[in-house]
Amino acid sequence: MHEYAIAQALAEQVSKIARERDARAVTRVVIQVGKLRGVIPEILQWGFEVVSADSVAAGAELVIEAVAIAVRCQTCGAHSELDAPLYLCPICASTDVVQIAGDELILKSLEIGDERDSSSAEHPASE
Amino acid sequence: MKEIPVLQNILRANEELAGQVRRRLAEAGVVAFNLIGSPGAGKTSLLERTVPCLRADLRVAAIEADCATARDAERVRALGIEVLQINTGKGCHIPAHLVLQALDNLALGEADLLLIENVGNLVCPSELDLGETAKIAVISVPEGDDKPQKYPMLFRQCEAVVLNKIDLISHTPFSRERFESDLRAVNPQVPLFAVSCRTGEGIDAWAGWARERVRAAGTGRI
Repeated sequence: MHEYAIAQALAEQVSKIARERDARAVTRVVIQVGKLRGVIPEILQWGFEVVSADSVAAGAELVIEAVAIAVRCQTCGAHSELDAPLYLCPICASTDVVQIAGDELILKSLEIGDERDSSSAEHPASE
Repeated sequence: MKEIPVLQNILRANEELAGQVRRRLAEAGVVAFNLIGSPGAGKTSLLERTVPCLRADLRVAAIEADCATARDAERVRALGIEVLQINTGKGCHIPAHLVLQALDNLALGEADLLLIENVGNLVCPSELDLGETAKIAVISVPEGDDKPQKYPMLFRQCEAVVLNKIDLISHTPFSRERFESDLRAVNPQVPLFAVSCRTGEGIDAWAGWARERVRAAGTGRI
């Protein structure tokens, strides 16, 4: 159930950004999740729905973009995507590979509605 | 409707606090290991075996985390070191802010190595940085040889793997060969220590690594 902890962190982050933007509603939340995170999308969807129920993001659509595990081979230079976390270059079978993607947990964008003051969008409150 | 690009790490709030822990530890010259493993893997037993091996060279303190009870802290306190218990209630891991609070109650100036025993769980503790110097995976023979592939986040990030209860291997279908090849596929270089906290087998090699890791951190204490 690490999805619940992720959902909680996400809901807090979304509320904070919405507050800074003076937004009344968040309608859509787009996140990127690397395959290595082992996140089950349905559980994260449900967790986010529960923890954001009383917030500015209540009812918001959560879009989860999956990011494949990718490596760069230090031996042959190939960039490859991996189906499983087996750190082996699919081209030359070298184990000398560097992971370049797959552990993302990123809030990519938000869609907000009803900003009270449209000028605040051009001058977002600093943190 | 308006689309706002954000591109922030979702666990950013925790990472900022982990950064504060890391700075506090660096200022005090303390190296910290975050011990991650399933309930019953033998994390506390490993502490009980390790502390006596290191005591001649290092001053050790510990943070024990469990959902409830102070039983592990009592066991570790019996070794004569400073221990702080964190109870997480329903929480299945410790977040960085609880470690930051714990640091206020530990005499950091009197420690060289802080052993943080995380809540028993292979998943969530791997997600959250605590500001530790190194994560250590603690796994045991009865759990099965398939864990490195099932929980790649932990086995990819950790700096050492301790395989405990090696004395039980002949009583289980555990294949050490399969475990090692699966581990190597996830993390080709990570040192693996096969130990038995019951018999003491393999503990010296693990404790030797721990001592060298503290030395390599360059805090100047040993």
